[in-house]
Amino acid sequence: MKKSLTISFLFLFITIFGFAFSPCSLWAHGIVGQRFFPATLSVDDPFVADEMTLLAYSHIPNPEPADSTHTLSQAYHAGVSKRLTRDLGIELTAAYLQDHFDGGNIEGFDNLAAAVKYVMFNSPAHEFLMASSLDFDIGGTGTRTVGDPFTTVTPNLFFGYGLGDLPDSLMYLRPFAITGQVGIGVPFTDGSSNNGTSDYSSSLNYGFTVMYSTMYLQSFVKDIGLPKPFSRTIPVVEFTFNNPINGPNQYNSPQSYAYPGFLWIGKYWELGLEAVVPMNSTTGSQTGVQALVHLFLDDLAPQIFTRTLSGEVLGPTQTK
Amino acid sequence: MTGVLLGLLLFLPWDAFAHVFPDHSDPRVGSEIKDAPSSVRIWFDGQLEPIFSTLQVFDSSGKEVTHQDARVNEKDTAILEVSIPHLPPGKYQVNWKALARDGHLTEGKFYFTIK
Ligand SMILES: [Cu+2]
Repeated sequence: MKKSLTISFLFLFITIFGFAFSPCSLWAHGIVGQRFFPATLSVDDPFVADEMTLLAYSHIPNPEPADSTHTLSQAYHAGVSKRLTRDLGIELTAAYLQDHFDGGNIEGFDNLAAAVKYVMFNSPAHEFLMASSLDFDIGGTGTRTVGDPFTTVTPNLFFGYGLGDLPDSLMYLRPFAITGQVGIGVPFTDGSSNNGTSDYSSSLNYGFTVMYSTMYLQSFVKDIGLPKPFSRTIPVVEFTFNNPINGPNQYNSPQSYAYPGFLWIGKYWELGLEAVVPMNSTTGSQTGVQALVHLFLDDLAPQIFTRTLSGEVLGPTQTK
Repeated sequence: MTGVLLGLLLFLPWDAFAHVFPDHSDPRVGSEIKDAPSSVRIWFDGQLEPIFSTLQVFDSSGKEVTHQDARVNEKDTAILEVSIPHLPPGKYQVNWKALARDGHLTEGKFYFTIK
């Protein structure tokens, strides 16, 4: 039994490793104290988890205003993450990119992305969590026209904080939670290997989310009688910033987007829908859209996914 | 790609039990009620494991007021309940821990007020 589990994991990872992976972040969910943190679409959160993103789709018209021939960018992401211990996990992500230009398309698999993440600190009483990760965008694993030929390594820091310990006078603010992420992407290249479609400068990437959980409101603050599906809906706004810190674009303003939208939390599923709103001239003026279909593997198949590769029981995706 | 993932999904046991979260309760979360209740019940969105699922009620001084007979309802295992004596007006805190059938533990607390 143990052996077949190990083999099925290997099979799963080899199958998914067979496809190209992208440098996008994985989407985690988890519980700390009485707070459930959903998977967010653009900012990775501080959990290690057993889960799968079946599909994350983004549709961004005119993604580079400086290049008016680049009319549309579409991306399809999929990924899995697996805990190795309660606090240590690995994540793998694949993406297929389609960039539409006046006079033709460029499409293909983006580079394979892999990450190792570690939860450093958590406080269930304060619904607080911190984690770090090392992300690898593995050069040359994608289609040549789309993926970079070089590897980019990104050390990251994450936090999540639920406002559940606010005083009674502010109790309606308790369902709020924030998460954040900051990382520096370092490309391993001498700068001459740029294939023309990508940027080889180091970049500072950061983002945060603000969300309001109707589940938290109904279950822990006040039952205001919200019907389904609204009682399991989390309005959210995410923000991401990508800032070149050397190389040819270092004086440009950061690529920044805001993503207002909704997440719906099912028992085994999560669905997300957000607008992609450019916040400055680097990202332009046209609003895009992104969507997420996400599975909680630990809940779907706890017999398999709440164990380590050696069969040790981890329990569900939550902190102790 | 999607085909492989969908194929994989077919082999997952879909009848698994997951994290349980509260759906509603009596008295309701955060409510103000006139009549003292004789029990506190919480309806969850999944089945509970009777052992290790707990429910306690405390008064504003932090003293437990429940009869310590918290149990999962025999007819409907998604309900966690406990009986309480006739309580005087005041603010009461409910603490619960729910163990789903597969070992997923969730916990939480809420208040209700008797006027
Ligand atoms: Cu879960």
